[in-house]
Amino acid sequence: MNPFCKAPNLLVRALTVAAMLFGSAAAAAQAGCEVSCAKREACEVDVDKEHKPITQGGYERIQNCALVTVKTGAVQVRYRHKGMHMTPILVANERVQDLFLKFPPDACAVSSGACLQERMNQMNVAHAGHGIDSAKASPGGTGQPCARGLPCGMILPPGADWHFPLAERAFEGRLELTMLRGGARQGGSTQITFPVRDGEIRGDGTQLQPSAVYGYRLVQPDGSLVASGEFAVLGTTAMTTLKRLAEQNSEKQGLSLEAAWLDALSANDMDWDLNRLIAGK
Amino acid sequence: MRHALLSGLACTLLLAFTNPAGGQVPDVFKSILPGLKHTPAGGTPPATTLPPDAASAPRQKSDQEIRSEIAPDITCTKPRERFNVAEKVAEYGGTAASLRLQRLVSTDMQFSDLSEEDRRLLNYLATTTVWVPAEIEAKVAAVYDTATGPFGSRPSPAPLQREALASIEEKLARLRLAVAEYPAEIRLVLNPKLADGAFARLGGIIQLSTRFLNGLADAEQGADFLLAHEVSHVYKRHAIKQIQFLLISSSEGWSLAKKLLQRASRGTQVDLMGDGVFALTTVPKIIEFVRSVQIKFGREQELEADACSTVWLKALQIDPYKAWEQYHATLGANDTAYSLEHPTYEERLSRFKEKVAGSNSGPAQKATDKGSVKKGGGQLIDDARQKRKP
Repeated sequence: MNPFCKAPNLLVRALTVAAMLFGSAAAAAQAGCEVSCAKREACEVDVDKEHKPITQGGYERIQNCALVTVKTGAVQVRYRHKGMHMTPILVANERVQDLFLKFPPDACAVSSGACLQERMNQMNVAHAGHGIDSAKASPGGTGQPCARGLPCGMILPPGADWHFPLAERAFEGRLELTMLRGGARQGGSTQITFPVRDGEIRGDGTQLQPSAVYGYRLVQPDGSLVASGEFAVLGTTAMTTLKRLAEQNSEKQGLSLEAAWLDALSANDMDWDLNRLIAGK
Repeated sequence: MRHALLSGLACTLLLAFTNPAGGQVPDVFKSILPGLKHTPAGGTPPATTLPPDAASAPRQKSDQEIRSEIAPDITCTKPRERFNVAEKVAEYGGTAASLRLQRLVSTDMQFSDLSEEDRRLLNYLATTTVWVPAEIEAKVAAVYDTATGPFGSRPSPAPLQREALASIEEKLARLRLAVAEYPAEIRLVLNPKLADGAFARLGGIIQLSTRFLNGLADAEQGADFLLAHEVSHVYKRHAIKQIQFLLISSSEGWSLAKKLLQRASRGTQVDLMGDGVFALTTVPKIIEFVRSVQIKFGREQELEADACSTVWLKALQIDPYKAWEQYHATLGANDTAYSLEHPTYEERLSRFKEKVAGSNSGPAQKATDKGSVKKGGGQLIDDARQKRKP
C-alpha cells in the first residue's frame, strides 16, 4: 500500500481535531454563565481584570465567563454542559476557564429565548398525535414565539399581576390564549385575551390553570397573526415538589433561597421563567 | 455504530429465537412443529401441525363465529392472542386454509397476486394471532429504541420529573397486580422530546411527554385511568398487531410477512444457518420497516383499551367513570383539537357510565350492529388511514 495515500487522511484528521479543539476553545471563550455567591459569604470576582462584587441571592449573568477568576468567597457557577445542568463552586484564585476546559459549555450554556426556541423546534411533533387522546401539538409554534419572549415549554403558574416584556418593545396588539388540554369542562376559561402595550403583556394570570396546556396567537390590532405557540402550566403537585427541592438545595449547598429557586428552575428546564427572573434582576 | 447495533441485535435475537424465556420454546414454534404435542399456557387443546391431520384438527368455525372473533373486543372478554397460527388457520378453514397459508408463505407469490380469500385469511391471522413472541418483541423494541433515540442520547430526567415518574411507577405496580397473565414487561419512559401525549409502543414501552407527566401528578385517579388504558394497548398487543396489518397491506411489507411466517413454519426445529440468516437479514429489515411507519391505533383499538382498562380499574376498586372524568378534567384534549381516530368524549363517557352500572352488553351490541364485526384488520387500517387524511 502506498504510504502517501494515508497522508491526506491523516492531514484531514489532524485538521479536524484541531478545528474541534479550536472550535470548542472558541465557544468556551465566548460562553456565558451565571454566578452566585454561595455559603452566604461576601464574594468578589475579576472579570478580565475588572473587580466585581457578587451579591448574595439570585444569579448574575456574565457574558464572557471564561474571563472570570474568583478573588474572595465561594462562587457558584452555573451553565450547561452536554445538556446537563452544572453548578460547581469555585473558591479564591480558581478560574472559570479551567472549568470550561474540563467541562466545555454548550452553545446554549445559559438559557435564552433563542435557545428555548431551538429546543422547542426540536421536539418531536410527528408523534404528538398518538396516545390516549390525540391533540395537535406544535411547541415551536410559528414566527419564533420563544425568541420573541413569549411563554414556551413549561411555565410556573402565573400570579394575579402577570406581566412580561416582548423582545420587540414597541409592539401593540393582543395575545389570545386557547386551552388545548385541561379543565375546560370543570369551569375553566378556554379563551383568554391579554392586551399588549409598549411590548409588554399584562393581565390576571390566575385565569390560567395549573397542569393545563395553552396555545396562543400574538396578533396585531387588525388581527393579523405575528406568532403562535404553546406552553404548559406547571401542575400543583409539581409546584410543591419544586419548592421543596429548592429549599433542600438551599440548605444543602448553603445558597440563598432565591439562588436555589433559580437553580431548581434551571435544573428542571423551566427556561422561560428563569430568563424572566434573571433578566428582571 | 448502526451496523454494530444491528449485529448485536441479530445475535441477541438468534439466541432469543433458539432459547426464548430461559430455555422455553415459544408457543408459536411449538404449535406448528410437526408431531410436537404441547399444551399452550391458556389450556387450549394441543396445536396441530401445518397442515393438521384430521384426528387432531380443531373444529372449523362457522362464518358467524369468525366474524365475531375478529370484531373488536370492546368488552375485554376475549382471551388474549397467542402464537397459535396453525390452530387458527385450521379453525378458519380446515385443511384447505392450512394448505393455502403454506402456499402463500413458501412460494414466490407477490402481494399483487393475493386473492380476496388470501387477504381474508391473512387479515384473520393478523387479528387473532401474534406472530412474534412477547420476549422477542421486547428484545427488538429495546434495541430499536436504543438505536433510534431519543433513548440513546437522552439525558436523565430532571429532578422534578424523577419524582413524578416514581409516583406513577407506584401506580403502575398496583395496576400490574390487577392483571393476571400479563404478556409483557412494561417500561415507563419519559421522552422529553415528545411534544405531547402518552402512548404505548412496541415491546411494552409506554412513553410519556413532559406535559403529560406534569398533568398526571395532579390527575389523581385520572393517572390510573391513563396507565390502565396504555397498559391495555400492550395487553392486547396492539402495536405488534398494527405492524402485522401493515406487513400484509403492502408489497414491501408482504415480503417481510412471508419471511416471518416462513420462520414460524420451521417451528422448534432450530436451524442455525437458517435462523442466523433470518436474524441477520430479516430482523434488521423488520426494524427498518417499523421505523419507516407510524404505528397508530384505530378507533376500535382505543375502545378495546378503554374496555380492558375499565375491567382492571374496577379490580382496583377504582370507579372507571370518576377516573375518566379526573383524567379528562386534568389532561383531556379539548374537543376542537380531538383527532378523529379516537372515540368521542360523549361516547366514552356513556360507555364508562354503563360499565359502572354493571351492564356492558348495550354498547358492545350497538357497535356490533354498526357493522364493525365485518371489518378485518386490513379494513381497520384502511379506515384509520381514511380518517387520518386531512
